[in-house]
Amino acid sequence: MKFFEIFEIKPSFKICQNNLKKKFLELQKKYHPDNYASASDHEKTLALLNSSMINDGFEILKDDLKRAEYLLKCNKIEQNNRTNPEFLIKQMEYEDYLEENAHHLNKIEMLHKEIVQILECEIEKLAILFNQKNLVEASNKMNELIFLSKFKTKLKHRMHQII
Amino acid sequence: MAYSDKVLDHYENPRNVGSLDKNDPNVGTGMVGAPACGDVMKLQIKLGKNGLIEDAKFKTYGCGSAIASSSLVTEMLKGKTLDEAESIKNSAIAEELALPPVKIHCSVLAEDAIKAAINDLKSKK
Repeated sequence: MKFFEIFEIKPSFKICQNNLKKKFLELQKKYHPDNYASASDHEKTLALLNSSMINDGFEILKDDLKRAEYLLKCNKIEQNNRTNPEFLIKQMEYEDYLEENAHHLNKIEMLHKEIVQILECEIEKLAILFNQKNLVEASNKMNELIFLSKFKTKLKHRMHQII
Repeated sequence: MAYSDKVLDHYENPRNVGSLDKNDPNVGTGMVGAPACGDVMKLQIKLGKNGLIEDAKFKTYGCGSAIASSSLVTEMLKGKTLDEAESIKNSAIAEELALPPVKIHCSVLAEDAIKAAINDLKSKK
């Protein structure tokens, strides 16, 4: 839970992004190399290490899926590879659709919109599981969420390529 | 990391891509995958009257090694009995394709797909 401590945020899935950002800027300022111009080498190195740790922590905490993975890891929940067969069928359908419509911008945009909505909805469900401390179920959901998130990026790339 | 020639060959000229009628009582369908890695693999086998696998088809989305593993497996399966098919090990697939250690999981996926397809077929009998 180190990162939550650094940012003085209560460890949980739902966090206030504004608070996180505020604390991040505050800490970044504190460990900025400019403040250590006349400091000893030891202090300079320390400030650098702190600064890079703050960056790492911010990248993880600000992202819903990375934050979820981090929370699960901190709670020693092993990431499993269990996959729901129904989801695999969906996954195949999405990929087929993308392949068939690789050059149809409007169709890809439609699918992108759908995936964005599904992701939002699934992240809400994930938040409920974390809230109920049902970490095993939350972990089971992660595989699907990571796929959806990567697939969303893939669609976005495809859209840019067409344009 | 470089792909072996065999992987590249299967990747560029995949064998037996397509699908069989999943409602045919002699067709078994196996669907396996690792969504977080972006891999999804569908393997279908068709059992002939003589008890030998007469056709095998696949459709895979994923990395080159995952595609090559499933393509190779469709070639290996044809003409085999179900028992022989079931005994195909991922190590044989990995060896044939000279998969590097980080890609062994692709051959595991292909072995799982064979087992899933056989189970589906048996559940129809």
